[in-house]
Formats: sequence, C-alpha cells, structure tokens
Amino acid sequence: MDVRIRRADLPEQNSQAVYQRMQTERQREAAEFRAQGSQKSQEIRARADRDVTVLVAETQTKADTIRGEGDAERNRIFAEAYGKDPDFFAFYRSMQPTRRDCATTTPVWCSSPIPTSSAISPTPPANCVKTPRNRVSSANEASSRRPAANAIPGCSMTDFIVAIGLVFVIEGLIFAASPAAASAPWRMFWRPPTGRCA
Amino acid sequence: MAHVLETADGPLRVIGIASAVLGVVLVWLIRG
Repeated sequence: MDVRIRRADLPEQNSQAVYQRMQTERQREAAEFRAQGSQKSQEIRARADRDVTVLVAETQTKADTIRGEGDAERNRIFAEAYGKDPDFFAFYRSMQPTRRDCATTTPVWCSSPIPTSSAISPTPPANCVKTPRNRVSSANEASSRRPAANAIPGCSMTDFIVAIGLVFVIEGLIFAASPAAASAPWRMFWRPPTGRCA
Repeated sequence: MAHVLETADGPLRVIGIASAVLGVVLVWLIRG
C-alpha cells in the first residue's frame, strides 16, 4: 500500500495573510520605482533649467557686446561726419527728431512747396492743412493705391494708350512714306476669291 | 478688302499722315 500527499492547503486565514503580504510587497516596490523616477525627472528638469539660464545669460552678454560695438561704430561715424562738415552734421542731427515725429503725428498737406525751416517748425504754414490720419476717405485711398486683381505689375492704362499712339505713328509714317510698299504684304496674303473650289 | 487694296497711293498717303498725326496727338495728350 502506497500513501502519498498530493496537495496541502493552508487554512483560509493563513492564505489570505500570505496574499496580503505579497500585495503589500508589490505596492512597496511600485512606490519605490515611482520615487526613483520622480527623482530622475527632477534632476533632468533642474539640469535643463540651469542650461537655459546659462544660455540666456551668455546670449545676453553677446548681444550687449555687439550693441556696444555698434554704438561705438555709430559714434565714430558721427565724429567723422562732424569732422568733415560740421554744418551738415548739425542739420542732419536737427532733422532726426522731425523724422521721428513725422512717423507718429498727423500728416500735413501743403498746396505749395515750403522752405525747410517751416518743415522743421512744429506749427505748419498757412498753406498747409492738417489732415487726420483716419479721416481721409480711407476707402478711396485704399482702393486707389490697391492695384486691380488682374493688373500687370509695372503697367498701366496710360502705357497701353501710349503704345496704341506709337502704333498709329509708326504705321502712319510707313503708309505716308511708301503706300505701295506698306500695302504689299496685304496684297501678298489676300487673294480675291476665284469662285472655283480647289 | 479688295476694294481697300485697290485704293490709290494718294489717299493711302494722306491716311498715313493723318494716322501719324493722330498718334502723336494721342501720345502728347497722355504723356505731355
């Protein structure tokens, strides 16, 4: 007679305790892995932030250096210009605020040319009228400045009419100089109908 | 067309001169 043990089960309470312990162990390992990943990500982020800060600082330094060199070059050119023609230099410098103001202030339309001194003056002469920038029939102005959709760049109706006029002149002169020679090509290509089919 | 081709030289010359004058006037009015 042969007696063998095929299976041995623990009591139900003991099995639950074992399963619970295994589950707890796995959860602990998962939390450890998550903590390691978080630490790695924080390290990478800190390194990237540091690189960005360093790069921005270096770029700013280079930009300041280049800007300083540009300013020095500008001052050198100004000094050279002043050495060549002090009067023109003074005039040029006096025009700079005018050019800056003209870009922001109301445009002034004058019915006749005005002297340079009046152009620099903040108050326009009597023959000039201030025109509000947003009032001057902006629709008409825009439509007059905007080319037609089918317009050929650089060409206009005026050019077309001038071309027609030149054709009249050239062809008219040819006919006036030699009517027989001018009408010869027409005679060559035009044969009166004979009334018979080929 | 045949009738036009049979026109004498005199009228053709006059028409040519008139056409040239017309062209000059046209260009002068536009570009002058």
